[in-house]
Amino acid sequence: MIQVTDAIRSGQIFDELIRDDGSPRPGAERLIDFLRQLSPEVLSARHQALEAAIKSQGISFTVYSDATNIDRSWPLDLVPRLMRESEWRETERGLKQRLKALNYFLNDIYNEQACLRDGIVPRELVYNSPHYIALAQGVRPPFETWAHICGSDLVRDHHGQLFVLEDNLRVPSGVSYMLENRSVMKQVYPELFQNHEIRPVSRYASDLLDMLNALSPRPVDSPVIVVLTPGIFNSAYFEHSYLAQQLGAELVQGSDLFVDSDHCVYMKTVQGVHRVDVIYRRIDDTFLDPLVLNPESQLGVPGLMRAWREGKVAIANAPGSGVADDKVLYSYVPEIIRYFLGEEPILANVPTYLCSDPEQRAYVLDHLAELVVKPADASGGYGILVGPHSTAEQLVARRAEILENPRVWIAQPTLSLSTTLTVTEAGDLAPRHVDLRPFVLQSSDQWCSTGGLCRVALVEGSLVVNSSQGGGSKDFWVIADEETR
Amino acid sequence: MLSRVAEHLYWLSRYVERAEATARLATAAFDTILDLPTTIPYDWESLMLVFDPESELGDVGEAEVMRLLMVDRDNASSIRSSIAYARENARVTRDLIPKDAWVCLNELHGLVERQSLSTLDRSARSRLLRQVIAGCRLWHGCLMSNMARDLGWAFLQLGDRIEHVDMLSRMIDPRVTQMAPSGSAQWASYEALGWQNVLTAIGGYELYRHSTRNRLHGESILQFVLRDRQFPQSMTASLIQILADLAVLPHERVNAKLVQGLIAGLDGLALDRMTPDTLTESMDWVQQGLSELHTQISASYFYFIDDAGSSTALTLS
Repeated sequence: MIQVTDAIRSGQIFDELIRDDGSPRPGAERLIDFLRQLSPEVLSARHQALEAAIKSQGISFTVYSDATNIDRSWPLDLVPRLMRESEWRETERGLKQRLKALNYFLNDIYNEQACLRDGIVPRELVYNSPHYIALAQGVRPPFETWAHICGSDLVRDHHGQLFVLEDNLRVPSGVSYMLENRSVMKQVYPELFQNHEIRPVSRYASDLLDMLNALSPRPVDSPVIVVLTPGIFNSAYFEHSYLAQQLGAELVQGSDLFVDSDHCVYMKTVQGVHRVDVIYRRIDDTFLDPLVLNPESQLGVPGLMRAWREGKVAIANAPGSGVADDKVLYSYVPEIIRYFLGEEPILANVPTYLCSDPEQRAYVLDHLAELVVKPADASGGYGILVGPHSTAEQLVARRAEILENPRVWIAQPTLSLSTTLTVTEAGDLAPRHVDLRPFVLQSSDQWCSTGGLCRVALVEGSLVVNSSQGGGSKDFWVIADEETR
Repeated sequence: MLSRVAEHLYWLSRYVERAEATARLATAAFDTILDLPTTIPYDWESLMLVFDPESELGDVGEAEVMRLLMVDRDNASSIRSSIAYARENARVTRDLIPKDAWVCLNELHGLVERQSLSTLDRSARSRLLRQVIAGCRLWHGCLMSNMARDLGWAFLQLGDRIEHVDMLSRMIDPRVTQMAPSGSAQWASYEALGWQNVLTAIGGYELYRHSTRNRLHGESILQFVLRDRQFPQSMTASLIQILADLAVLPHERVNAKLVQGLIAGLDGLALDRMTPDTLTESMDWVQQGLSELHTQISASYFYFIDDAGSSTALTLS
């Protein structure tokens, strides 16, 4: 019942578990043995046990376009994705290197601007970025760190090489599902955990707390940390309340906070007002402070930017960090790493064509049917056009959109994302495309999650893994190997 | 505890109690109809007065009133709306509520949402009402055994008891019980039925029987429902509970004299000389007191009016 497709045999697609000759990859032998022995009845029973566990624990997410059923059960696949620890260690080094460089870059553009003077990054790219915040100019946050939490999306091409597809530096989401996936898998597959040395993921909440504590402007033992949520109608509300619970932090909305004349931020409690030291915000920059950013915002806190500029409160991630996760800026990240760290990038970038550049635009328009075209500043998989999977009308429409406003589009070659075995609608196991989002933290130190959230495109052949677009998820196992045991 | 969270807990509890009280009232009305001779038409419109004293429904029948009370989405006080509001408030305060209680509320919500109006005949309605009451009791059971006795508990209790006293004051209004002497002579012989209706609705029928050992008659039933200190659903017992809950809130910003005044006022009522009009007046007075209490709790704990140091409680007029 395990399918090995022609694409895997011919080497057009890299499979995470199976080599092109059909044998298991090193480290995956026991999992493959286990899956081979599973009868369809047992597989189906496990599948039901897993769905029941997710429902009863209330693990859910929200789809915006679906007004009648805003709270949906989280889709988790039965088969984990595996990576050997030696490969993971190297990946982790690459991720930390990348975030370190991006933080140097952010601190530089909001202060000295050496990299703009030296022509590493075009000045107008920074100033024209919708995420650039002029008010952040001259601010030096603690440890000169701006992006405290980064979720970079990694994909593997048909040669087996890992690439960074994009960096999420504004409000990266998904880490709660990484933690919950593991907890559900342990309930459903206790025997698999006996057979493998799987590195635990549960340290993340403590690391996050250490990272946030280090940011406190007041030198106290337990600073007051809050998670700022837009509220219950946000697609990630489950995650916000989950993280608040894990951190032991108060889950607040903008209306729960105010900034007083001493520039400090306070929260309103039934006992009175309490000063807030660190805000882990899960709302976008533009909604943070209606006084100076978006005046329409009902979600933010009037005066919050003033409090932050005065250093009376820490905000993670710092306002203006989004400049570094712009998809246009993405193409400059390898140069940024070389410039600030004097090192070669450990993790590769996917070649990226900027439609704002006339030559690159011409190439994109000529090769539209082969490329993936994305909006430069959207997230959640909205507006992505996968050339090889699109109709002629869709291509014509996108061509017109590019010509109308070139700045907002980028294009990348269609990577044949790696696959891994996944339970299909029919109830058997077949390869489906996957990606991976690890979470890296930085303040007084750097921390990296052990693995990350693995997303899977449930439709055969599809490359779109976003849960808002019908994608599912997998538990991701970092497995000890000879070199690391 | 965040002020916003406290307010959500308070309303969560009010809505659960409103749903249960509505279900109990509808159940009691059903029992009454089954006993009434067909020559006495039950005044369905008066049932709606409990929720909306200004209600001008006109001549509507049993099916329509039951639809409005139970499953109408557009009626903000229907059972369906109350449970939906309760669940919305619970979603925001999920981390403070025991998981069993949250599951119980979800199931109740699913149950009511699944009902289709057209197929609600008498037996289906009666079954649904029993399920709603059982679900609300289960909710209380989960809280009773697993909820920390902290500030969250105090706000849940306050919401529950304030809503209960409010609903009770509406249920015993003669305009609703239809025991006004102006009714037909034939109706008078069924007066006991009306009183029994009230007692059953608050689950106090057996206890009344045990404690008074006399026939059902107005004065002693009012004594029991308004003043009995041992029956936990009586008005006085609920007000005493409210006093205890107010006492644990920080800074004692709400003046206990307001609630003490309500208890004393109930004690002072001359039940033997009570006319339908004076009973209506008294119940209106209770509702005004509760409304003032709600305003004070909101101003002191939910809407931030002043900093922690100074008391913002309103003074009694």
